[in-house]
Amino acid sequence: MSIEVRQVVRRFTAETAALNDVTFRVEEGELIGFLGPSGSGKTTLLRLIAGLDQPTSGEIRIRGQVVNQVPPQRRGVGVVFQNYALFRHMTVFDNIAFGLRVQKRDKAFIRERVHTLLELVRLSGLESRYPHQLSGGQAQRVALARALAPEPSVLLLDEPFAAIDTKIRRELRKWVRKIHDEIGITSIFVTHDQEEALEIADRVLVMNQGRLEQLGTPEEVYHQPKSLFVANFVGEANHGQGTVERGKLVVGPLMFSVDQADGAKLSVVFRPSDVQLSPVGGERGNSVNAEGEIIHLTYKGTYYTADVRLQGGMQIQASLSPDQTAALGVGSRVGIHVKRVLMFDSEGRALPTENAVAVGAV
Amino acid sequence: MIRRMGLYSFVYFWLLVLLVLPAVGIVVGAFQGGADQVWMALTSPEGRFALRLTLEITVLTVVINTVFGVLAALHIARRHMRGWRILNAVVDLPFAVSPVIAGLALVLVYGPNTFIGGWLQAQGAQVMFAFPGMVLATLFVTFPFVVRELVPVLRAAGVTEEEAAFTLGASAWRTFWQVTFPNIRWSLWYGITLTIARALGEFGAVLVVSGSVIMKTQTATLYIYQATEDGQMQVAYAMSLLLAAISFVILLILQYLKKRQRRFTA
Repeated sequence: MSIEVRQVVRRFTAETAALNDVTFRVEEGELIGFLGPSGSGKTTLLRLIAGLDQPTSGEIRIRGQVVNQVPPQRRGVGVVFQNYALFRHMTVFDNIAFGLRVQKRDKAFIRERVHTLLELVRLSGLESRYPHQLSGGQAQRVALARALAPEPSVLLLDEPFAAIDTKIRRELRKWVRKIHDEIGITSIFVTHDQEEALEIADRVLVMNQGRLEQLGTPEEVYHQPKSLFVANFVGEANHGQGTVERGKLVVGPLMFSVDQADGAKLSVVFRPSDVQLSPVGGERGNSVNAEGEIIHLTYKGTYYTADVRLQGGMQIQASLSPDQTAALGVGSRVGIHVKRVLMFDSEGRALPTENAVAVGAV
Repeated sequence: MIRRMGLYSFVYFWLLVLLVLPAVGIVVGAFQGGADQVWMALTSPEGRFALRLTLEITVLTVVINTVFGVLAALHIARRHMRGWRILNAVVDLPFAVSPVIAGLALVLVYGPNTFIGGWLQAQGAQVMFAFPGMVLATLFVTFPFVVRELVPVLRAAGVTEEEAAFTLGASAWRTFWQVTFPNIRWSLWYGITLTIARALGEFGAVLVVSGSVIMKTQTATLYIYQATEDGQMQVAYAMSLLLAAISFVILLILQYLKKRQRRFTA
């Protein structure tokens, strides 16, 4: 494996741990996304791997070697900082050449390597610019080229796309994925944008309050979240709570059959995309669990999100295809069918959901 | 409109009374006996000695305060170690305390009749009423300049550029010279220039610790003071003119540095 983090704790103050007993492994050549809200410890974790900060306890290994005592200079880790941290008094060329000059490479080699990298990041011709003469996207790519120049074994990117316009951001992240595939370097990027993490990472590491919630493929964290936090944080989610009575869980007007003992307090989460809306007035089959009224429609580009108020006042969100909006609009009475549901116990741990099906209205 | 013009005119009148007239007075006073009188006053053995002593004290002060000023500024700006707050508060002490009091305090600690001063004297090192004491006094009054110029730029520059250099393999030494130093360069020159100006003109603290012995511990400012005491106004004016001229040049340098500093931070 490439990176191994074992029982790492990092405390900045005595009371709170920025990282609390974090353990995971990253395989050689993987692209990993650290995903979590701000303050969840993902940047702290990145800094520990880079050697810019020391764990309070626990062990970090890079390619098998324990690096706790190894300074950042000798870890072979390239870092792209959130604000790029380009050397502002140096040209683009000198920025990229910095790590090579530290390695005392000869001039011809440096010139060639810098130009190869400039081509890779598509910035040829800008080598004599200064950082303040670059756009955000260009500065970002210089930072990437600079980090890659000394051929590190691991590449770390801290919120790499945070300060860039949405459109360029999409392009850039596809392109970062492409470069990753070309070079094959083990990479970790930090983000609070779940879309970003799901789109380009091989595996996503979800963090919350200094704890590792789940490490899995984008499909796993989206469809099989291990905790209530992950279910709510990754993707859109409808969320409700209830108590089991005679094998049934009642959440507002919705009812689910469950495998849990009576009296258990459970949370349910279902995606807007797993909620099916149908016009009321047609035949009301088994597939309708409840009825409600569309109170708001939000256009999302390729689909709509409908806010639906159920009987009893509970509100949920459902995805609607543009075709459906011909028949359904704000004010429409709709039948609701929940196709898939996730269940969590009172501690937020995931429960098996094969048998948890929506069974109709109360 | 008219009222505003009246107010502004008053500012210029005030400037005239406060700054321009005294400056003209020094020039006129210095040259009232002719240019050769000025030259003689400055090149007399006592005058030359005083100038050289001032120069020596200034050079030493600049070197020492630059090194310690940069270290102190890094410590305050980076907060790596507890105690930066204490240092931060103490740095301004020389601004708050009258130089005369600073000089007296030095005498109380390093004077010949004290524990430390007595011990040093027994080792053959006289601190007070000698060159080392005068350097100490000048160091004390000029300490804040470099530190106060550097702390804000160091804070503004942040540490991420340095961290980037570390991850690229650069040692702390290399990182300071190639990454940190270029970022603080103009502010450092500014702080050094202020230090020079203050060291050249320092009077109170140096007077107390020097004893002002002619040809031994008499700096340029003490020389002026002595001359006025002796009624040799011609000599006093001549030396004053020279110091004022140097100050004027320093003022121009500061203006230039300020411009560079602003261009850099913008």
